[in-house]
Amino acid sequence: MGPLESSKDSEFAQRFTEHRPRLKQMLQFRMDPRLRARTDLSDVLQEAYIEAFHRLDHFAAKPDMSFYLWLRQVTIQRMIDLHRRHLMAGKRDVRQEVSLAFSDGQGASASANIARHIVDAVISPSQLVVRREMLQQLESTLEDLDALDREVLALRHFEELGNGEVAELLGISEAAASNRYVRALSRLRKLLEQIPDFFDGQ
Amino acid sequence: MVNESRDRDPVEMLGEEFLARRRRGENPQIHQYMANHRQYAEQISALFPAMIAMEDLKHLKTNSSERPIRLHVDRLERLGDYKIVREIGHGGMGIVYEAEQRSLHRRVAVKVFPKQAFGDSNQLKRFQREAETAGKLHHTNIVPVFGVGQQDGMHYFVMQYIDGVALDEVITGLRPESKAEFGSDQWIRQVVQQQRPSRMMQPESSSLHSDREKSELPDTSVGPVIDLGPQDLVEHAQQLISKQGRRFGRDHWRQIAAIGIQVAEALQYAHNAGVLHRDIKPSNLILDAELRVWVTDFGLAVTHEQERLSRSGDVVGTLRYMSPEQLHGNCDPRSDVYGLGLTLYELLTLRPAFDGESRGSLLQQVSKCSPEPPRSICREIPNDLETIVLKAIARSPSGRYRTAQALAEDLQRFCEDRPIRARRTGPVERLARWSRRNPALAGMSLALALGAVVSLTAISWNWRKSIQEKSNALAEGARAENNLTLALGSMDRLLERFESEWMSHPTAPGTESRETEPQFRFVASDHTAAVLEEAVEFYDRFAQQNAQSPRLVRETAKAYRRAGDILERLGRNNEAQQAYQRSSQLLMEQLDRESSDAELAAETVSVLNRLAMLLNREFDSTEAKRVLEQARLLLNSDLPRYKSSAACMFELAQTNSNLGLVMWRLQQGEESTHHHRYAIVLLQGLVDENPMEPKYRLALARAYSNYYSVAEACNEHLYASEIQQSAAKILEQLVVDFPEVPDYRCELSETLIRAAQNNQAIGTDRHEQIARAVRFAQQLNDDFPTIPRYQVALGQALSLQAGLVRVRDLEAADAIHRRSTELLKRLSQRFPEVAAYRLLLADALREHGLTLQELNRLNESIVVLEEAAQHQSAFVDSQPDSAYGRKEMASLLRLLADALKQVGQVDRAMLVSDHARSYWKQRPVGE
Repeated sequence: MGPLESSKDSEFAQRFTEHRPRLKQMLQFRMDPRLRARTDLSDVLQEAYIEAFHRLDHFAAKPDMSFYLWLRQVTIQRMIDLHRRHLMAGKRDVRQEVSLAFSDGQGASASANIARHIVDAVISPSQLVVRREMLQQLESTLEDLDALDREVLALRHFEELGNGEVAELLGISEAAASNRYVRALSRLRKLLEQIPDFFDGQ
Repeated sequence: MVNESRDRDPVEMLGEEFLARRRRGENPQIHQYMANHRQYAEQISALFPAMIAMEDLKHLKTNSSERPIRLHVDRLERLGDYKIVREIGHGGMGIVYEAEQRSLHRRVAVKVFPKQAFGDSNQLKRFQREAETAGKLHHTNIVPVFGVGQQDGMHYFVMQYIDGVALDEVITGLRPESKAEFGSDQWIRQVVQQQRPSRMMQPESSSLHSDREKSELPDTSVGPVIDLGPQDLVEHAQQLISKQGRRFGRDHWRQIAAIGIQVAEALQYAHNAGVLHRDIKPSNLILDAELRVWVTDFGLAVTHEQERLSRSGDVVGTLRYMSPEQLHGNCDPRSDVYGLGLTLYELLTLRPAFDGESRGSLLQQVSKCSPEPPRSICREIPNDLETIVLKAIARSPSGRYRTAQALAEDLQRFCEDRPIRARRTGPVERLARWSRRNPALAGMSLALALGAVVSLTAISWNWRKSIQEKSNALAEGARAENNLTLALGSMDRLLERFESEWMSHPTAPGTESRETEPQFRFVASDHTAAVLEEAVEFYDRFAQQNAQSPRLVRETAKAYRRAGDILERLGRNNEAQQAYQRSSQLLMEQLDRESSDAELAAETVSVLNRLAMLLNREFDSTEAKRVLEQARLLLNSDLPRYKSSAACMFELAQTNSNLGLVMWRLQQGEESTHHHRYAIVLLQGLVDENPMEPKYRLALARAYSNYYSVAEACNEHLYASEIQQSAAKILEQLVVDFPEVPDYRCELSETLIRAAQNNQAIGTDRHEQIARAVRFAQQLNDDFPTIPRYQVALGQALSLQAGLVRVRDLEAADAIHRRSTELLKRLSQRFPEVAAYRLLLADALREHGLTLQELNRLNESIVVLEEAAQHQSAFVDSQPDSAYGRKEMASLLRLLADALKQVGQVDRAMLVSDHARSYWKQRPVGE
C-alpha cells in the first residue's frame, strides 16, 4: 500500500468514525430484534466499513447523494444481507417486499419497531406488564398508517435526519417530505391518545 | 429561520428547530413556541408532545445499550497545540496530563475525556457550554480554564498548570503512618513540599520549568523523599508513628481554617456568577507551595448527578462527598458548602466523614447517618472549628450555612478568635438528630419506648415553655412559634421510627377467588401503645392550640395527620378518620391560597391516600373511591406543574395503586387493572429518573404485587407470573443494594411466599424458592426476634415448605409443620386481638393436619384440625363479613368430619358436617 493509499485510508476512517454513532443508532432501530439479540452491531458496522471502503472510488466518481446517506445505504445493505442469512433462509420475507417498494431497499417496515419502542418508552424494557396488550393496540393502528409516513417518523426521530435529507433519501420534494412528516405526527398523536394516560404521564 | 420556507409546512419547520435545540441540550418550551407562533398554537400543542415522545423513545433506545466508559488513550503525545509531557492524574471521567502549549510556550494541564463520557451530543454541548462559563471565572483561588478542544473523538479541557498537591494527597501525607514530619506547625507546608517532588519526577523534557517558577519554590527544608533509601523510609516512618499523640498547635487548625476560607470565597464568587461546582472534594482542591488553594474542575460535573453516578467509573469516590440532596438530583450553593464541610472534616480528622467502601453502604451513610463529631476522633480539634464543620455538613440544606460566604466569615472569626455565629445545637435539635438516625432495629421496641418517653418529656417541656413565652409577651410570639415548630419536628422524627413497616402487622394472605380480601388494622404492640397515646395527645393539643395561627397551618395539618397515623395504629379508626379529614381540609384550604405549590399538593394527596385506605379497610370502599378521585383531580388540575415534582408523581402513583385496590373491592376489574397499570407506569418513570431512591423502587415492587392479585384472579396466569417476577426482581436488587435494611429481605421473602402459594416458580423451581424464603425469614428472625411481621413470614414459609416436603418425606414434613405452628401460635398468643394471626395459624394447622392424616396418625390429626377450627372460628367472629373466612371454615370442618368418620366417630362427624354447611349457606345473623 503506497503512501497515497494510506492517506486515503485514514481520511476515510476518520469520516466514517464521525458518522459511526449515527449509523449505529440507525441499526439499533432498523435491525430485527431477533437478529439484534444475536449480532454485535459493531460487526455489522465493521463489514459496512470494509464494503464502503471498496466502493469509495465508485462513489467519489459519481456522488449522487450526500456522504452520510451513501454510508447509510451501504450499511443497510449489509444489514439486509445479514437478515437474509439468519432469518429468511428458505422463507419469503413478506414484510420486506411490501415496505420496500418505495425506498432504497432497507429492511423491515417501521411499524412493528415503532410500536415496540413506544411501549418501551412508557414502560421500561424489563417490565412486561402492559406490553402485550398495548403492543397489539399500537400495531393495529400503525398498520393503518401509510408505510411512507412510518418511515418518515423513523428517519426524522430515530436517525435524526433533517427534512432535506429525508426528502433526498425518499426521492420526494422537500414540501412533500414536510407534509408527510406533519401528517404522520398527527396520526401518531391520535394513536397515542388511545393509550390511557400516555400524555398525562409524560 | 422560518422565512426560507419553500412550501414546507411551517409547523414542521418550527418542529425541526425545536428538535435541533433539544438535541443541542437546550430546553425549549412548548408553550413558548405556542406563544410566539399563535397562528399555529393549536397544531404545536398537538404535535410537539408526540415529537417529544418519539425523542424520549430514541433516548431510551440508545441509553439502554450504553456500556461503562473505558478510556483508551495509549501513549498520547499531542493534542492540537499541546504537547503532552506526562500524566498527572486519573479521575473517574478523564485523565489529566501536564502539557506544553507550543504556540504560547506555557505549561498547562489538560484533562482528556473519552467521547463516550458524554453519551450523546446533548451532554457534550452542555459540557462545552459549562466549560465556557467556567472559563469566565477569574478568581485567585480558581484554576483558570483556557478552553476546550477535541481530537480523535476525545474532548479535552485546558487549564492552568498548578504546581501543587491535591488535598487528598495532603491528607494521606498527614496521616500518622505517612512519612511526613509534623514537629512544627509548618507541617502542611512540608507535606506539600514533600509530596510535590514525587509528582515532578518526570525528566525535564522541556524548558517549562522556567527560572521564574523555580524561584517560586521555597527552600526545601525537608529533603526530597526520593533521596531516602527504602530502609531509611521505613525507619523514618516508624519514628514518626512512635511519636505519641501529635501535638498540633493553634496554628495548625488556623491553617486548615485558612484553606477553608479560600475555598469558600472562591465558591461564593462562582455562585455569584451562577456557577455551581457540584463536586467539591479533596482531590479537586490543589494546595501550592505558598499554601494557596486552587479549586479545579469547575463545571465539569455538569451531567445530572444520577447520570454521573451511573456513568463515571469512580462511583465511590464521587459518592463519598456528595450531599444527600444531590442523590435526588437537587443541587444548590449549599451543596457546595456541604462538600467543603466534608473536606474540612477530613482535614481535621484525617479520615473521611463517610468511610463506606461500597456503593450501597455509602448511599446508606450519606442519606441516613451523621458522621462522628470530629472531636470524638481527636480531642485537640478546637470546639468552634468542630461546630463550624458540623454546621456545614448538616444533612438538611436548611441546617447549613446559607452561603459559602457565611461559612468563610465564621472561619475567619475562628482564626481571629472571635465568637463564631454557628450555634451548638440545643437539646431539642440534638434530640431530633438522634431520632433521625437509623433505628438500630434489634430488640428495639422496648428501648425505643423508653427512649421515646424520655424524649417526650423533653419535647413537652419545650412545648410548655413556648406556650408560656407566647402568653408572656406578644413580641415573643414569633419565637414561641419557632419553638413550637421545632418541638413538632422533633416529635415527627421521633415517631418516624414507629412508622417503619416492621412495626405493623400484616394483612391477611391473598385469596384465590375474586372476592373481597380481608384486611386488618395495624395494631400497636403493648410496648409502643403507651408512647403513642402520649404522642397523639401532644399532636392533638398542638393542633387545637394552633388552629388559628395562619403561620402554623401546615404544621397543624401535619399534627392532625400524625395523630391520625397513631390513632389508626391504636385501632381507633373513627378518630383516625376525623384526624385525617381535618388534616386534609386544612391542607386543601392552604392549597387554595398557595395554588399549585407542589410540595403542599403532595402532602395533601398523601393524607387523602391514607384516609382512603383507612376507609377501604373499614369496608367503605365507595367513600374511599370518592376520596381517591378527589386526590386524583387535585393533581390533575395542574398536572403540567406537578409533573416536575417527584413527590407529586409519587403520590399520584400511590393514588392509582390505591384506586386499583378499591376498584377491585368494588368488583370493577377493568378499572382496577387500569389504575394498577398506570401506577406501575408512573413509578417506573420515577425509578428510571431516580435509580438511587429505594422508596420508589419499593413502591414499584408493591405496585406490581398489588396488581398481581388482580391479574392472577382474572386467570391471566402467564401474565401474572411476569408481574410477580418483576416485583421479585426489584426486591432482589434492593436486597443486594441495601443488605442492612431488613424490610427488603422480608418483602422479598413475602413475595416468594406468595408466588409459591400460587404455584408460580420464579426463576428456579419451587423447592429452591421456598428454601430461599425460609432462609431469609429465618435470618430475619435470628436478627430481630421480636418483630411480628418477620415471624409471620417465617411461619408461612415453613408451612409451605412442609407442604412441598410432604411429597417425599412425611416425617420431615411433620417436623417442619411443628416449627411453623409453634411460631404462629406464640404470635397469636402475644397479640390475641390480631385476627390475621388466627387465620394464619388455622391455615398452618390445617396443613399439618393433612400431613398427619397421610402419616395415618389420625387421632393427632383430629386434635390439630380441631385447634385449627377454633382459631378459624375466632377469625370469622371478628370478621363476620369475610366470605373467605367462612368458606375456609367450612372446608376445615369438612376435613375434620372426614377424619372423625375414619376413626369411627360417625355421630360427631355428622354434627361437624352440618356445622360446615351452616357456614356455607348463610351469613351469621349476629348483632
